[in-house]
Amino acid sequence: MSITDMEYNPTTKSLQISMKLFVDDLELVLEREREIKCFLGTEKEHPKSNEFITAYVGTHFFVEQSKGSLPVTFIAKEVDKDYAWIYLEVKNFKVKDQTLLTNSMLFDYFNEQTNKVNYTKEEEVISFTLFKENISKEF
Amino acid sequence: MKKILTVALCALGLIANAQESTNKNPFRQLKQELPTPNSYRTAAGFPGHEYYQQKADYVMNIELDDNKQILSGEETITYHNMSPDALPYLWVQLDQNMRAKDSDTKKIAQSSIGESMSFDNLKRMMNDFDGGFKLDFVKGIDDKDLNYTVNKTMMRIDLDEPLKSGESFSFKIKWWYNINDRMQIGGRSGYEYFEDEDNYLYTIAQFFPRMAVYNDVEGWQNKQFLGRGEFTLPFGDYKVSITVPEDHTIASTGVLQNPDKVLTSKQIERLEQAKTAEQPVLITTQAEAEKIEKKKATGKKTWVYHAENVRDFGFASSRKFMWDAIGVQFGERTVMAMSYYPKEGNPVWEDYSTKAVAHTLRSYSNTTFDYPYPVAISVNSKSIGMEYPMICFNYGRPEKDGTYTARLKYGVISVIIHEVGHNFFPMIVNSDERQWTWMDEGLNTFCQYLAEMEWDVNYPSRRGPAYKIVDYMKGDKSNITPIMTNSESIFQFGNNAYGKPATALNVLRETIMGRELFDYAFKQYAQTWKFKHPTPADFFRIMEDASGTDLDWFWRGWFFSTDHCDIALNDVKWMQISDKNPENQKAFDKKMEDNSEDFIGDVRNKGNAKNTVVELDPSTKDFYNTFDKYNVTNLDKSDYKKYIDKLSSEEKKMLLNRNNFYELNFELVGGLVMPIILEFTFTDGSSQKEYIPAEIWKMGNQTARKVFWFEKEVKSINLDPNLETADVDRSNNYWPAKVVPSRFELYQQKTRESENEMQKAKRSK
Repeated sequence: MSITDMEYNPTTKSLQISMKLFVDDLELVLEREREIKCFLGTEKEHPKSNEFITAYVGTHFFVEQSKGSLPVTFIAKEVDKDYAWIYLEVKNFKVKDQTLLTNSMLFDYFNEQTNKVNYTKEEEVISFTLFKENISKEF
Repeated sequence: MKKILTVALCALGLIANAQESTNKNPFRQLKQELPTPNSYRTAAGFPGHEYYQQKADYVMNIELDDNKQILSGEETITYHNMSPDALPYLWVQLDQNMRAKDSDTKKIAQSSIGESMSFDNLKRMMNDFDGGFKLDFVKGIDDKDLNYTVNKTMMRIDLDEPLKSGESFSFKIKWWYNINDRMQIGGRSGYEYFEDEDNYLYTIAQFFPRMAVYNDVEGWQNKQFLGRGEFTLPFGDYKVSITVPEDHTIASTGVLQNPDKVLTSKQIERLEQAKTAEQPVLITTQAEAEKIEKKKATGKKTWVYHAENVRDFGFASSRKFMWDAIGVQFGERTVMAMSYYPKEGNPVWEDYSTKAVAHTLRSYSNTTFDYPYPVAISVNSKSIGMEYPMICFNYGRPEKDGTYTARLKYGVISVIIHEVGHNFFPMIVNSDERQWTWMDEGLNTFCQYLAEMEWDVNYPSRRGPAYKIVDYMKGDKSNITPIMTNSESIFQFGNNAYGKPATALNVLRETIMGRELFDYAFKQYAQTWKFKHPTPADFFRIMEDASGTDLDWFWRGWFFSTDHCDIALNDVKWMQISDKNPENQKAFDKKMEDNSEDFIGDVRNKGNAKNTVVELDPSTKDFYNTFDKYNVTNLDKSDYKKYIDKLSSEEKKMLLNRNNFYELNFELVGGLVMPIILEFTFTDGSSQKEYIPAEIWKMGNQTARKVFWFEKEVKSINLDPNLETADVDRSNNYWPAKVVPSRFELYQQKTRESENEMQKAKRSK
């Protein structure tokens, strides 16, 4: 299971996203895609691993509003024990607009992977789970 | 038409009413969820006076064909019917049939093709491996064929006459099967192929037709093996001969009976040394193993093992194994902790495996009972962790250059602790894994956490502490099920059957019961059900019975529901007792008024004060213009004296004590009832903890109020300051309210404080 927490920041008018996944899973996916071992969060970490992660996120995580797909910016990655945290930001996010979120991270390699999303919209929390047969959610 | 509608509406109304009057109190007892106690299993959670369990003994001759990767065997099973019932048939488990071409496991596996699919997934989906048992014969001890019916992963043996209570029945089965490539199609057992040197490493389990369990709760076990719900097996004694290529080393359940025939005199000598050594002793060194694996012998050797009172049997075989061992002392008894691994497991395995095995035996024995078996073995096996009596197969291979990450090291130690720990749950405390994964995985993960904390207090444990389960329990519940869900129907296996029950036990130990009561009750459960078959109800009941604690509400919330804990500290009122002394009272009132907010019009009009009528024409002023209601009069003073004189000395003391009173308002936002743990921090910097048991919610109330008093003034209050209740929303846990930053914001703060990459680069020049 991965957890994605999203919160709208009215000051920056952006959607701030932190995504938590098992670092071993992420590493395996990158290894399969690139045929390179990344050693995430270690001294041996591949210098381009953030680039690889950005590319993978770019094909598996989408935020769409009426104006189409919004650019998802990779901010940083952190490795904490078993978990990797990926920080993403979506600028010019219209908090009142209908939004379609797609998160198919890891589905291509792990059949039973589920991605839970908790979206804090002002006081309200919208929570849902995405899985292989259902990769998007509109809210 | 109208009439019918009215009737229908009335009926609906009745249903709604009936539901509303049902007891929904979270503290109602589990009378409906748990089976009625009886003479087999008591209300205290102990075996009853008529408790029984079956026994199955095995004599087996096994041969491993290293050229064709085939395992074949002939076994004699002696089944002892200790039940009071006559059995017209016996059920045998054929777990290998899960890999048969027409298995249900394959049929019910959901598959879909997305935009992309990995080769591994494609290979697994399309595999046409010819697995499953091929039965040569099923015969009575008199060599006459027995009638049998294979139902997928199970086989019914029809008896000419029912097997009466107290009687035994022996029969023979001859079988073989193709061993699966674990790396291609997965599996708990199978082989790993080392292509560059054309060698195999076999980890063999579920490899023989095994008796199913018959007992007072399930009758014959009738759940097929689909792959997830593991095993339910009776205890018995095993005599097993295993024939393998003569250059193979075997690691196996049981005690080796013919070391003289299969080991070198040097190995026997080293084993003897290992019994009393302080560090693990290599029985086969890396140099020796590397020499052996380079050639292939043509002859065969037979290793003979005996195992008593085990519920299963497993072994590993390869010409690649190095082997080390150390003795672990339990009173007069020496248990051998051992590891078998190919050179690919080094350097990590030689340094840690056997030490982790020995540590697990000591730690778990302390929590439960002394490890009763003569050996405990850890075998290096790529990618998995899987347990059998006395032996387990564990992952962990460092990089080819001999380096490894901290993650790998702790991963190896954790998996070894976990799998060796399974000797206690479910190999000895023999719960039914096919029904309840949590009963062994959850309890074992809890003990694993304790063992990890004893390895190193800073051990990076993955599961155990309450706050680590929060992500799983909070938010969307569509993809989670209660712990009390059958093994085959669990979403998120790891969180549901390992993480959450282990956390729940940890919460019981640290927060609800306390270590002393918990440890006694948990040990009582383990010792009572050692070498027996417990059910969930037995566990729930004994934990309550041995600790004198009603935990039905806890089991209901944590094990029978998917509710989460969220307690909010909504409001705090601060009060001091008025001592009625007008000197103090009036001064206080004045201060309160001075401090109160002013209406904007009043503020602005103040500038115009000197132009008002009363200022311009002083004759309009009278007594009321100069009267100060905060002035203390003689009347006030005499009234106060009269009041004080009437009070008893005790009342006077209470009145004069300047305590600060705080009325706290709590709300149960989540469905899970939990204790309220508070930390009060005072203006002088000191702090104090208060613990309110979960029973504060016992009326089914959603809100609760509680008054605390201190001489000191409270600066702030923190609800659940040590993160022990798995409260999913910390933002409503503070007074004064505190905005809890998101992980994203925390990261931004962190990066702002520290130097950036360019600065770092400059500094390194």
